[in-house]
Amino acid sequence: MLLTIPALALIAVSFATRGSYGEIQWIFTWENYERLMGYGLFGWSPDYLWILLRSLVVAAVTTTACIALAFPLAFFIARQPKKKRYLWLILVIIPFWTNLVIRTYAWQLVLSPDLPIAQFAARLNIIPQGSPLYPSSFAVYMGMISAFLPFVVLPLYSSVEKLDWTLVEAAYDLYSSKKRIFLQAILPQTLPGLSVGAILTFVPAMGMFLVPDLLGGAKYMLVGNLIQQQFGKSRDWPFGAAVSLALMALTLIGLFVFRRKGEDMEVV
Amino acid sequence: MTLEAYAISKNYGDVQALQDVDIRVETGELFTLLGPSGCGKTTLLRIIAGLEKADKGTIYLNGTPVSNIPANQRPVNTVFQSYALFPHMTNADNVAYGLRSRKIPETEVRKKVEAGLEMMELSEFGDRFPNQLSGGQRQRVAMARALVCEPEVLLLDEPMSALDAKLRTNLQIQLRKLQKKIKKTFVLVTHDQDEALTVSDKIAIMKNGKVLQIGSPREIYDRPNCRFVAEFIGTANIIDARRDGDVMTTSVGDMILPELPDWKDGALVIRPEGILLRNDKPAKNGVQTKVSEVYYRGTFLDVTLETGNLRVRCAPHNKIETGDSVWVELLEDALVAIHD
Repeated sequence: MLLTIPALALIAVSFATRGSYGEIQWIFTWENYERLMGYGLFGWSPDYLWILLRSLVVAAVTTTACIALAFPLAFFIARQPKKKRYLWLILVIIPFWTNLVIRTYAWQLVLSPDLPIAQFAARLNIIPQGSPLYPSSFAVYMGMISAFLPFVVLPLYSSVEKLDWTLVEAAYDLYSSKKRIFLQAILPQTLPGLSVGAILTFVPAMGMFLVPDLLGGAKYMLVGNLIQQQFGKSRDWPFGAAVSLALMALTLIGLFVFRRKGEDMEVV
Repeated sequence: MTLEAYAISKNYGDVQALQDVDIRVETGELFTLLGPSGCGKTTLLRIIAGLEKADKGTIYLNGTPVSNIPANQRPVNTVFQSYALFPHMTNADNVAYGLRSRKIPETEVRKKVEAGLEMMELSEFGDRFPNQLSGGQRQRVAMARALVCEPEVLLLDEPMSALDAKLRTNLQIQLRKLQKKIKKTFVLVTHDQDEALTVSDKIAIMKNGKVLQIGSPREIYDRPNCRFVAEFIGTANIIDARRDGDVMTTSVGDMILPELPDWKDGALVIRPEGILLRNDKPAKNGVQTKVSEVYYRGTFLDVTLETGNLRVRCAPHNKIETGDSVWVELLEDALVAIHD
């Protein structure tokens, strides 16, 4: 009930009209969706579609990068002696104790012009001398990956810890190459943890607005920022609701594709 | 293919898992590593498979050292204790695994998998998954998976320990038949002495990382070379003995041996079957004593004598009761002198 009523309300609102003072007028219209598809007052423009696509790409890249980083990390932790394992897990978890806003500001600090990373980039002529590394998509990805990495590492670690190593040995004994050992003996066993981690990353990453806001600058708008803007500054709830529903639909599609990919991998 | 382990040593921290172990397995032989848990037998098997590296020593296959060849390139396959079947693959795909790793053409893979499943009487289970099979069937899938790769040496790590006793006896006989048929070298690890005696050409008895005795099942059972082997295999009467001239003085009386040992103080081992009940005093190695316990065991009577707590087996039709006075003869050929 508590979950469905707001969702149903959102659907209803998305077909309503914005009044001149930002109130909701219950006049049924498709206009919000048309606007989202790019049909505005001044003809067709793909701005909103670009935002949706960019969000999808950012979420997918973040998830993939997190998985790529989490695998070695999870195996590294699982291979430590018991006592050290907890220490490493705590190190992974500690960032959670800090608010995401503060962590994101911390990235601004890390990427600021006086610190080695920006100076190194300046020396390589990637950015002009004396300027920070943000706002940039690089900064957004750094922020996103660091925010979501623990969500992949922890479930993946729990799978890796339970890994039946005799299967790995059996694969090795049966003439498997390293790649085949990974695909056939390790991946299927870690898939449960991996998919939990991927979903925990992909879904919130689709709706993330804080990190792109602080590290991406005004040009780097994602769906999350758009929704926040509509419900906040613009006071256009109906359009915000339409965008939210579009985000939900996109997320579901993304998850569906991911699940299909997961199933395919099992057949490899 | 012959298999040789030469001076293999392996430590885990402070624990010496293997100490200077030498074994030699001839082509087509079924060689068993037998010992209590923790004796190092599985470690030796894993070193042969290449899943573990020895600290010292070399493994030779057909006289060629293979210590530096990784497990996925050795012509050796393992049947794991837990079977280690891939749960997300059908049994046929499991059996096909090693062949596909070697990139053998798919038509040939199919043929070999079919033949492998048939050999193990699993033809109708190819499309099912391992968790849909019984323990015995899973064990056969694991066997088929290893055998379709046509390894020169097949390693079996306690392949029957998870099965119930009746099934195990059955599979032991099948294993023996199979090995005779395909004439490959098998190395079996077990802690089950009956299994070892039933299936092996040769047995190596291991304890604390050392090989104590290597021999045929008959040699191991009839001529144990130390107290541990005598006690580990079957039932043994161990009598402390001392050599006095031409006779052995023991706690149960003087005994005559066909061949005298070269030590002064030691012990004599005799299996319960080597002691016979007699009506009168026998010509040599006779002991007169009373029966202290009798247990009816179906196929035999398990009799314990007062003198030296000697245990004797005799046919179940014998009318013997506790307290009866009897003569027994310790057959001289059945007496084994040990010194340790």
